[in-house]
Amino acid sequence: MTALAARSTDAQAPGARGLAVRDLGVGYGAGDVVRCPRLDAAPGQLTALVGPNGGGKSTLLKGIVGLLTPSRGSVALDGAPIARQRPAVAFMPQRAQLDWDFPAQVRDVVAMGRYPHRRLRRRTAEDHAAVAAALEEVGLEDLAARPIRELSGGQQQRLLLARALAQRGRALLLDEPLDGVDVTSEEVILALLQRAARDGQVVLLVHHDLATVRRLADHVVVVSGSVVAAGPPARALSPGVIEQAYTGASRRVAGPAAPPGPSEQP
Amino acid sequence: MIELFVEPLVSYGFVRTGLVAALIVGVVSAVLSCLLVVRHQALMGDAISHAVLLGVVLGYLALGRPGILPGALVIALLSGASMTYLERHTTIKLDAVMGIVFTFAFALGLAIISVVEPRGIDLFHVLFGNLLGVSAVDLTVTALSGALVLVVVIVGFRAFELWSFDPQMARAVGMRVTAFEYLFTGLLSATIVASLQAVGIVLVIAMLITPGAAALLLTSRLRSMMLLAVAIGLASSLSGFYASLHLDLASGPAIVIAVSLLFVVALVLAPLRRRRLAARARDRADDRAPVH
Repeated sequence: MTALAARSTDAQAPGARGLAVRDLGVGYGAGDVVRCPRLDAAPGQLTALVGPNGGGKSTLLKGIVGLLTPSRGSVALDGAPIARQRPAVAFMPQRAQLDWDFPAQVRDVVAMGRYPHRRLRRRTAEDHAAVAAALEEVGLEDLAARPIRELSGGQQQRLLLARALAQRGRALLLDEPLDGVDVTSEEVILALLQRAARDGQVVLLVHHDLATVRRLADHVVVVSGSVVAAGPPARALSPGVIEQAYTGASRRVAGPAAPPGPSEQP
Repeated sequence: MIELFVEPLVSYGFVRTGLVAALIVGVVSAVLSCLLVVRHQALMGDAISHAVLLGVVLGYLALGRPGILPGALVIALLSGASMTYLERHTTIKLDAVMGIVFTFAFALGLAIISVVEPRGIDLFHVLFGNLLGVSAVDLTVTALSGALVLVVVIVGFRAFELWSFDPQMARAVGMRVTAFEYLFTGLLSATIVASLQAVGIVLVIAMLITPGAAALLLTSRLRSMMLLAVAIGLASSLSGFYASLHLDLASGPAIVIAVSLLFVVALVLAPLRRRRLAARARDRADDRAPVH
């Protein structure tokens, strides 16, 4: 029984559910920024990618989503290559990467979540229902006709989450969904992500606040150039791991500087 | 009134042709200007239109007058595609790439003109437009390329909207974004060629920015932005055309001055509209507030 369980975690069996990343290398052309020998995100769990700035967690997420072409390795969703099921993968980009002066109302952006299902065909009642439900879930139903340029930061994040929810995919991949939001929005977003996980979606988010991750994630993957640790928060975020991941990265960024000593004091 | 606006159309076929060409250009370039403005690619139109001079010259040398528009289209597509390619495959950013490609093609076109001195090309008309010199063949090319652009944008509206707002999501859900960029460059080339006779190479850039920019000031959805831009494009083509007819101006400058004046109008109206919307939002909030 234990032998079987051990084997099943080794390589994702065909038909296995969830997201399975194997031996992935991702970068911007000149060598890999991040390596990921192995990453699993099971449906029903909230999986968090954490790590220091420059550690490559967003880059890894972009490789998984297909925004960057991996130099090697594979990504599978529910046992099949993710590249063949892009419409089933909802991606929430960082808020700062969008132009919020774009001429669109709140409902227009949420409706973009239906694009993978409908493409250029006429939208159906199902699409309208999905958009309305998503707006309500994030609490923006009263602002459906509001131009997006008038939203606050927290509202913008909730809007992007609503778009991802309206897609109703099997996987929800989010790049810093809690960045720059107020406490209310943060609670709303986290509750919705937990619910999406409970409903059987794969939920994988990049986040930098370890306290929140400890409190809410079911599974944590620590990334600093490569996967440093993975497991339940209590285990993956042990003091040893954090020190290794964070000081390792800061040393890499700062270069081989001398250890801080009296000479550095002004 | 009739004397000024209707009689020239009835009496002279070339005036009718010119007006139709101006209106087509007003509509098509207005639609594309919206996409260029929201994608922060306004100067892409400028770049391709300058490069087109080379196509005009080469097309004329190869086939005579009928070769001008096809030649322009070929060079527009080639220069647009090479800009997209260079941006994707080198570390040079799009603005610098555009500067390199269009100045080269423009210089080459000027050099050939100065050496060959082709008698059928009036450089002034190529650069600044000559609506009254639009031939039946020109009008056909303008109408066909304009129709092509409109059909593609209308049919693919959802895709253009998503790709313009969030190319990352577009790619993540499986849209072939690279192919889409080449398609867009092709549409832009077709629009520029369609506009060549009306406003000329140098001024087409105004028609590819200003209607969209003015409309953005007054709307908050891409669809309504496009409709308003079309209205602005039509109004400026119409007024510019008649100004050019009666005041003996070059048609290009006349149309561009008209669209610029409309931009100023939009600039004045924008704050008024914002205030009205804010007031309406306040009213709604008051309605919802509990009454004691």
